[in-house]
Amino acid sequence: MKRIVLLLPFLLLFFGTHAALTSLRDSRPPEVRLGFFPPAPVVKALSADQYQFISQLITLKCLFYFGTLVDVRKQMPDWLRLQRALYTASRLDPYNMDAYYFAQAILPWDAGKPQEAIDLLEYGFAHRTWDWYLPFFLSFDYAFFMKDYNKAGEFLTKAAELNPRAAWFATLAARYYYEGGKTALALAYLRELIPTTRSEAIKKQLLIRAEALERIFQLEEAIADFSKRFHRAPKDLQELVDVGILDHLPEDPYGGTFYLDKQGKVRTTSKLAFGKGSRGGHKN
Amino acid sequence: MKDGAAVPRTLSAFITVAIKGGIRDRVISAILVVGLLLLLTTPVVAVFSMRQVLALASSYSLSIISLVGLLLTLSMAISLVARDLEQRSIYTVCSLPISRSSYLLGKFLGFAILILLAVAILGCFSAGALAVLERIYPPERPFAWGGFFLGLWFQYWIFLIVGAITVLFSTVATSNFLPLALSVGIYFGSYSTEAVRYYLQSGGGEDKLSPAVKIFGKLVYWILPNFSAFDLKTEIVYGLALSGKTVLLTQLYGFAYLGIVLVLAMIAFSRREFL
Amino acid sequence: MEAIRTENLSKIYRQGLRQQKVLAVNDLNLTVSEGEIFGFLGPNGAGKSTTIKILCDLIRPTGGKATIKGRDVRQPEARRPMGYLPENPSYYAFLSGWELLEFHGTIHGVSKSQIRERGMALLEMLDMTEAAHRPLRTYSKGMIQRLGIATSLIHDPLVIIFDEPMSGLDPVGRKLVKDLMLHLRAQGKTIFFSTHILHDVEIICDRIGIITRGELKFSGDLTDVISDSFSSYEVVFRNPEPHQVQSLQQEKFSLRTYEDRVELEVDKEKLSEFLETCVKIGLEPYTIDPKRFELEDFFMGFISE
Ligand SMILES: Nc1ncnc2c1ncn2[C@@H]1O[C@H](COP(=O)(O)OP(=O)(O)OP(=O)(O)O)[C@@H](O)[C@H]1O
Ligand SMILES: [Mg+2]
Repeated sequence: MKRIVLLLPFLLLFFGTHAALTSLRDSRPPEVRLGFFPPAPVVKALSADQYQFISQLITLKCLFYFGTLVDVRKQMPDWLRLQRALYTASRLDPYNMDAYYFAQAILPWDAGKPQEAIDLLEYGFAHRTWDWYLPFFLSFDYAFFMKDYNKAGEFLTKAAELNPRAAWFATLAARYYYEGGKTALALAYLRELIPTTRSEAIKKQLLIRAEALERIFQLEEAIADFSKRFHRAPKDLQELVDVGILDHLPEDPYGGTFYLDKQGKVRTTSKLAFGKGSRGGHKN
Repeated sequence: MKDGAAVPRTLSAFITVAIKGGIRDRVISAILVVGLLLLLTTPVVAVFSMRQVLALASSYSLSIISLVGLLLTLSMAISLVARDLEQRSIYTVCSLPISRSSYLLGKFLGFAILILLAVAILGCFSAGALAVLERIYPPERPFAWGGFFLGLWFQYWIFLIVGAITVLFSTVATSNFLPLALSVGIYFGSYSTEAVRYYLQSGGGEDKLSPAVKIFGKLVYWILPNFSAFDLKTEIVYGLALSGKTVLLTQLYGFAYLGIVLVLAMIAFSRREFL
Repeated sequence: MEAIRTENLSKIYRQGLRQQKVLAVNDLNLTVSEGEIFGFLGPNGAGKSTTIKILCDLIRPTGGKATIKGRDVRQPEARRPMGYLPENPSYYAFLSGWELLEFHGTIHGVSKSQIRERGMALLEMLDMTEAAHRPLRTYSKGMIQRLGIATSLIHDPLVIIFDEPMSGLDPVGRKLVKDLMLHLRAQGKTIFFSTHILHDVEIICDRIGIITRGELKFSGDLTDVISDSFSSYEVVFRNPEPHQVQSLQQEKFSLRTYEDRVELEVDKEKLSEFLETCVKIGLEPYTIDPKRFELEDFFMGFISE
């Protein structure tokens, strides 16, 4: 009885400080949360025979970090730190597919780091020689971001060799040589990817991206329709609505607005990423 | 016939015995020596970093201290009560005219002082290594020595809490394997409660997980200590500023948690029978 | 005031997953008066150690209560005037014998100088001075036992509780401990101890209690059980000649014949008459002992019940 009374002040202090500390820690700048990872060789040396597990842990931590930040707070993650963490994870365990998958899902698009993604994926493909996903990602990155169609074709051939569903790639390969099909290409790529994605945070991002691309695709079709009818390009997107080809202009799910650039291509102020349109971009 | 000096006398007797036991324990000395040897390799490891030698060196030595300290904590904490029970030395000690709570408190104080000594030795050693490195590779921003020692202090509190949890389990367990295994589990779990909580709040957790899992996650977040709050490695390594409020809250939180665990251990232990 | 008192004390252990009940002590009423040596006897598993552990608050009674010098054993203060030696004692193996004495002495509030003085005297008495500064892990079983006895006495306790103090001791050690116990009684201390060595009990105890299957079967003065008085002698002859044996039988003595010896019982009053017969037939007795009722007979009576 005496001791239970002794418990009371500690319990009071505990509940008070626990709640206060929770809210204080929730308000911390997000960079602090991903934490610091020493360089890969050091981590590898320290993790003894647990490097696979630690590689997974780092990847998971990246995923938590990304999910919390992008999903809950609609904030920009620290791309450089994410990229470094994923790099460390891949060096710890070169077979850790989660790291490559996650890297491919975010680095070339949101982070605007296609070259870094390609480096990681090539490192992964050197180890996971049986995995058709890696050359598939590589071919897409080369075609879509680097516009290196030779390389893209090369990797797609490798992917097709590894994947029995080779027929599907043939249509994709055709599109690599057809600039106009770029949006359709990206859409096809995303549609292949989404059903196999298990992480909800990433899936959500991919769905939003697919939605945006679909709308761009819709606008491009409308422009083609317009050119066929009037034998000229539209002045701006509003003209498509004015002549009755579209009911209304579609909304950018990233919060930007679609417009026509000088070359007559559909663009959006959001550059297909959260925060860019409204916050004026994030640079590292 | 109350004797005013009885409690301090008892505590000091236990502390003396604990220090003798710690110094004479081969395993403990061996772990400490291994820790010091590992810290010696700090400069070798640090040169792997291209642009932040001191950052890497400090994170490396803090990792070593936390690992070595955990091993020391577990091996000492298990010898506190569980070994007394297993080797039946508890019969003679608890037949002394002291309450079970005094026994537990005396034992724990001895442990706390030993661990403090160990952390101080390891900390001074690594501080020396870092000071040398700071001379050779002057960092862009001055190294946050205050943060470094504060980080060691909170690391020490993690050890205290882990030790107290081991003692709490020892007071109810009949073997000394179970408390050890549970404490190790709780140690690792306590570093991830915060991450799990963020995950549960995030979109991924929100719609996919069943409510039972979410309640469990919340419960775990409240019951396990939040060791992420005591982990100042990022702040130390990058020399980030720490608000006084954070430090104070963390300290009070640790104090409250330790108090609760120890009082629970006392309650459990005073009911314990030594069969 | 009694030094030790138990009132309707009982203890039920619960064992195993199914919590099987083991009745170890059943409704035990025991009193040990001040200044006496009380021997607590009983076969293995009778409940002696259980009772003693309850007195030291190491286990808790299922029913009843126990006091030491009038104080409930559940209070730590009750153990202040008490010195305890468990069966098969175990101590911190990294301490030396002397450090253990210091540890126990300090917690009992004995001053440094008194610890020195008493510790030296106790170690001397138990012939442990040489090993005093070695770590306990190097001690033999008997040495641990001796040191345990010294440790339990470092604070000059009024009530001494020993659980099988003689176990593991050599004959010299047993003699030392017996002398020590008698010495302590001379100083007015109370000693309550359990043992299986009935001979020791006969020599040093004032009172005994006999416990079997958790129940106290007897408690009383040793002199009530065994007396110095006797009614007959036990006589033994070695290798008597057949004709000598015949002569004895003619005198109506009933003999028991073994391989190389012959035994017979002689009434106290008939001893001189018997000795005359011996002289007559030229037979010399090998031993002549008074035949007493021994504690062993008394003890066996309870166990075989
Ligand atoms: N922890 C326990 N769990 C279950 N039963 C127990 C336990 N300890 C003792 N017992 C039982 O209680 C009874 C009394 O045991 P106790 O140790 O008191 O006997 P004892 O008289 O000291 O015997 P010995 O002369 O062999 O030392 C025995 O039947 C024993 O099996
Ligand atoms: Mg016994």
